[in-house]
Amino acid sequence: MFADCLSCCFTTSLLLYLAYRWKHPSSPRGRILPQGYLWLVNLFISGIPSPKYHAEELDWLESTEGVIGFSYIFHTKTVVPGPFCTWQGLFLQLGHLGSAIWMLVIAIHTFLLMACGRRCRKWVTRKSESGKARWVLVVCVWIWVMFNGIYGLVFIEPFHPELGPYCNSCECILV
Amino acid sequence: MVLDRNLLLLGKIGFFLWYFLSLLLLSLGYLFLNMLALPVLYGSVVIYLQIQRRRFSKSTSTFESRSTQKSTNTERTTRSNESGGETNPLRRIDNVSVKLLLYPAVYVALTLPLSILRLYQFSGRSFNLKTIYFGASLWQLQGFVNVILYTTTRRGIVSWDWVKQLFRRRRSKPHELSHFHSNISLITANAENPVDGKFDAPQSRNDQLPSDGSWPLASANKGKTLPEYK
Repeated sequence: MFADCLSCCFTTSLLLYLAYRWKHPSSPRGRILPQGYLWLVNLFISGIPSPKYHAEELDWLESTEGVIGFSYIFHTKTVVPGPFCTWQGLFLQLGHLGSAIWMLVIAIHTFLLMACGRRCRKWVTRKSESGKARWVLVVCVWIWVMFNGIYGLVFIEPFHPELGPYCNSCECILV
Repeated sequence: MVLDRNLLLLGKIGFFLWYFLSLLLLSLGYLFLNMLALPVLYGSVVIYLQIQRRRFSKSTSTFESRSTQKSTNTERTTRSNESGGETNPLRRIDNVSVKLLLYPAVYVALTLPLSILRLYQFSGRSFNLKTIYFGASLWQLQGFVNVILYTTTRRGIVSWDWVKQLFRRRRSKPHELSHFHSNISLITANAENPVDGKFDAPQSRNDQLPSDGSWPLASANKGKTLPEYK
């Protein structure tokens, strides 16, 4: 629980700070953007974890959206199929898959930037700093992550209810 | 009847295989892919940097032996190498190599325990709750560690120089503190922190050190201290 809150606080505050800088580009630090800035922002967005709470024998998740229903779960101390459970599973999948993919993107970006010659470095710098290609990549990655998140909800839960609710199956697979 | 049973069994096996593989490919697969890909990618960058470093040091030594006029300069260079200053390109390459290796190391350290636990759970074994909690806590620390790691190693996101300054001020004595605020020490601080936006924001993007670690070579090339290799 402590680790979840720590991660949530740090990522949220960093994103708020980055948003402030984006809003005030006239400040001296607002002009300085690192290479692969967009990928880093996406990594931090997906890195917001779903705060987790362990109750009795059941591990249940409290996603960012699920903060509203915290008191409900605190009293019931169980996970039941429903919108809250669905949100938990969805956010868990989105967060973990998103951060994994964006880390890979950053690693590939770094590799191309540093170890693939000057032409490649220029090309990567140009593509990551301007143009539509970077936005296409961002949208494609998030669509893929969304598909993965919804996959279990659409294809597994309705046809195989014996496996339990979606958030529990996510819990079983990821955390 | 026997055929029906066999078909049912095959169907069940097929379903569980499909379920397992789809979940493995869609979720855990990425984790293990990352665990393999990150060390390979960052490791190859580090190897590349070390090769460049060796070439540079070799060329510097040959350069020293050929020219007597420039030997005085190279003596200065070797002196600075021995002193290990921040401006020394060789030292900076080493620093960047260490930083680059931190990314896969941290990722593997945080995700591997729980991933192994999950795989063991797939095989039907159960674990102590404390072990699972420990693994889950490490996993959930990813956000916090990522923020610290990426902001400290990549310049331009968040400036941590105020922390360094805080420590410097605490270490320095009162008379040194007054010296710190003088123009000379400010210039020194700028030299040590070339991209510190608090002191002197870069005028153009060329002045900015790339946050991905390419700065030691780039900055060294900019200063024409590193030869070009094709």
